[in-house]
Amino acid sequence: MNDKYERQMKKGVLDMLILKLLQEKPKYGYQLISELKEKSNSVFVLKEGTLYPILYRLEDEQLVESNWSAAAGKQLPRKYYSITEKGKALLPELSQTWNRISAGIQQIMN
Amino acid sequence: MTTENYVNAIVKQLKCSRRKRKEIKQQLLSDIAAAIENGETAAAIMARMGSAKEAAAEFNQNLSQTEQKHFSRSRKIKAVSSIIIVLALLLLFLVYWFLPKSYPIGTSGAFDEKTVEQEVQKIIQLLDARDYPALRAASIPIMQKVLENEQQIEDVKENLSRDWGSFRSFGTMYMAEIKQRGQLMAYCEVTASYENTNVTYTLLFDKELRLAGLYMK
Repeated sequence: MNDKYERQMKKGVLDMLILKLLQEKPKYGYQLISELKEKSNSVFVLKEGTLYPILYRLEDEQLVESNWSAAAGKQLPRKYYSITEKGKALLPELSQTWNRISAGIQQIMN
Repeated sequence: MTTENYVNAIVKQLKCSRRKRKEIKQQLLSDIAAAIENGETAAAIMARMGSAKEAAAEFNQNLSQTEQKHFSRSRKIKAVSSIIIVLALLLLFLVYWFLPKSYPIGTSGAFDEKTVEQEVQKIIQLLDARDYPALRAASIPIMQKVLENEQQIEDVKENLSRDWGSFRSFGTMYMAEIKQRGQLMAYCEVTASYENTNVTYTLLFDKELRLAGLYMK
């Protein structure tokens, strides 16, 4: 029961978190999954089936862009995502929105 | 299960366009390889991602409606195309089956050239003699009914020429076997010379060498 609500709550902020991680540098899928888990102390443990569709949607909205790296020796090409100027402009707005929502929630819950 | 088989099993169950499935497959293989490079085992990765069915279900839950619409549309197109192909093949088969196909006489072994030639000559002689009872006895049931209209046949002969005169000779006979709708027939075309005219006969015989068709010109 709790899982369902937890998933719903997290869903709303994933776009913002992914854009934030991409703000540092371009990253590929596995990197994003690993960093989300590590930096959130395992609060955000995403699977590829959730992450990839978010990335596709962000790319459709031109907030991120992707390109495949060249194969390097035995290493398979990797699909790197990077934040666009539009994504960079949106991120502070999302952050402010989150702060406002978070403050409102705190007021109600306390 | 190898990671490639695992990824293929996931991709097979995705409800999205072929292009997107290909993209997801490439990305999954690449990210799984990166995880292995990072020290994870293939088994641990597959356990983390869940069964292929669970992993595919997660994708399908989150893929955009546009992608899911593409999938439904392409499935419908595939179903309709399959039906069209089956119907087209059936139609081709029926057309092939209905169209007459000809082969040299004797090909099937059912007809002998000499025997057919003799039968052709016999029928034409019976016609010349107006021996309709004998003609009917040598014909298939449908042809028997046609040959009951004796006057009509005599009228046809008179239309070709009022007085044929006496029979002179047979010209070269062209013979073939014809197969149509599963039925095998012998076909013969011959021009007979009469005193006052030439008549080209076209005759058809069934496998029992009974007259099945007659045409004069």
